[in-house]
Amino acid sequence: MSGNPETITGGLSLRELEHPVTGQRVTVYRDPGRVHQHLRDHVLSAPESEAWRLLWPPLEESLDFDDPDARWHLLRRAESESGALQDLYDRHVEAVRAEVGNAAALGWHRWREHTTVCLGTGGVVTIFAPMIRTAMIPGMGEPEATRRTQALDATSSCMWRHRPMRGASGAASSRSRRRAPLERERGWDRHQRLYYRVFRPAVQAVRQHHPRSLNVYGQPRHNDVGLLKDVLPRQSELKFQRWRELRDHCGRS
Amino acid sequence: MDNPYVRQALRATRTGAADPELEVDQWLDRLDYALEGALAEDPVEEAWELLSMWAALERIRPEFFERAGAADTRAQAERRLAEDGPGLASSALARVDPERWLQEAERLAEAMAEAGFESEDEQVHRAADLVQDLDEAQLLVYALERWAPDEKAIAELSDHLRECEQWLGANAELVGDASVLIQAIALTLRPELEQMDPALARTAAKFPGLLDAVTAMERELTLEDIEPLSPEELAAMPESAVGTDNASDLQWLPTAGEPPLAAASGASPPHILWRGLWYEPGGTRTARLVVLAEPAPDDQLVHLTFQDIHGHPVETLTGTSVRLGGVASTIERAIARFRLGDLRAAAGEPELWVGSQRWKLQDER
Repeated sequence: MSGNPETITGGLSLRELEHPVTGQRVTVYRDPGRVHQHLRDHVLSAPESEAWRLLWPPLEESLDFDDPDARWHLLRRAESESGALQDLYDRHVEAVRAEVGNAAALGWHRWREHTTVCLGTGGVVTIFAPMIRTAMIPGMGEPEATRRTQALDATSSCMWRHRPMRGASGAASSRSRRRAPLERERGWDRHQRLYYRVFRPAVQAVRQHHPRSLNVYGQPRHNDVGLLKDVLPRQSELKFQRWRELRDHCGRS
Repeated sequence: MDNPYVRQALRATRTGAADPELEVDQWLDRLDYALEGALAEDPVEEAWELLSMWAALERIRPEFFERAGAADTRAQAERRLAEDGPGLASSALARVDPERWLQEAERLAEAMAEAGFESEDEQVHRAADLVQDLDEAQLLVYALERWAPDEKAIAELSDHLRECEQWLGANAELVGDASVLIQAIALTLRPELEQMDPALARTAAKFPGLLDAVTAMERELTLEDIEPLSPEELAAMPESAVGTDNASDLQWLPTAGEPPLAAASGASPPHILWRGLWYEPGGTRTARLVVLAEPAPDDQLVHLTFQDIHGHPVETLTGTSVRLGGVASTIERAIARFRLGDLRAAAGEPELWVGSQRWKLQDER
């Protein structure tokens, strides 16, 4: 794994990556506790775990993502031995590094006050403030299910649209409730799956978040995902073929 | 012709922060997403998206429609709706749940009355979800009338949705936090909707009332409606409430010739006459005022600065009215400016009101 360890605490070596604007090296999460919390709430919690698996297949070399017990056991083990997460964390950092690199190449980043927000072609939103506060995939899953465990990460818990008019079966988006590939997906290649199941819902969530991120005067309430709205192309310019071209441009074909 | 869906007095509308083309782009994308088969495994979700998003495109201003390049997608949607309309309708109808919407609305009202939300974000999202979901359900009804006219089912659903709309009309101030979203959606609407298609205009009938409510809310927050008291009104008030020239014992800001309180307590450098730090209730922002002890004329300006938890200027408060010890100012780029003489003359306590919220003073004197 590339990336220099900045700190070794509790058996976990923290990694760094380059800021998309300044190029400075930035630590990926503040301390091992935050690493544990972030991997638990995002990378290892369904349904976002499925999105991470589609986005960065090498993550599966760390553990069987299809097996919820394996994910749970890893987290339990990491409670007493944070080094147990090292391999998964390193692969996660590689995924985030690739996404941040895409954002830098495409200009999909925005800076305001002390915060930088960027989006990669896999749908990962990374927030630097100034070190990495979160790297998550918006648009996955039902907020109610994850909100309780994400109280410290207000950005992600509000990246969901709650749908009070839709009855019980429609409380969550179908995109998020699905797990196994269904009929239509069997005909899709991995690019189509990543595009339709991860990237496009992520962009939709970013856009949907924008007007909600403003106060009544139309000014940002926080420096968060809503800032990205002005740097992203129209949705009609992000159709599948165009997205593939952008991925190629970023060396991620 | 006046546009019933636009309120130029609203700041987010004037500045363009409320972005109608973003809403159009999202509707178009959601329709595309369903047409591309990405929702095929969930026929109910797919039906909702196809029907309501098609209807959303019907009521937008032609220039937005053209700029978004929506013609092909609409034509494709209409072919699909012509083929599968009744099937899609029965799927979508199975999901609409106005009762649940009303429960969520009551929950919002209760939570706001009891300050029961975990965060401001949650409050904003709950309000926005209610507005957006009701709007989409009403668009769905419009689409059903066109593509699968089952009069009985539509009439029943319409009755239920009317209850939801009435709730929203009676409690519009509760969704004021979704002001920018409300403005953005309203800005997409064709001004001649009523003349063009009364049924489609029904789906937009809630917006003028909501816009009026958010206009009133914004005026209240910026204290635009507060008029100075007339001499007669001042004369009628008890003296203790007015403040007088000789009420120096009531003044919280000493004049420069008096011994600085901070110096007397030994807590601060002697050149500071007075300083105060106020906290946003339940928030992380602060306001700070420092007045130096050096003699200064009454017309000198002093700065009340607003900072976030990291010490950065809070630019987002620009335009907000403040009152410090009863003296009014407006925040510009994280600073509210006051005439020193006005603060010297202010009686009572150095209460700080930011918009309609009183911030708490941590006495640093």
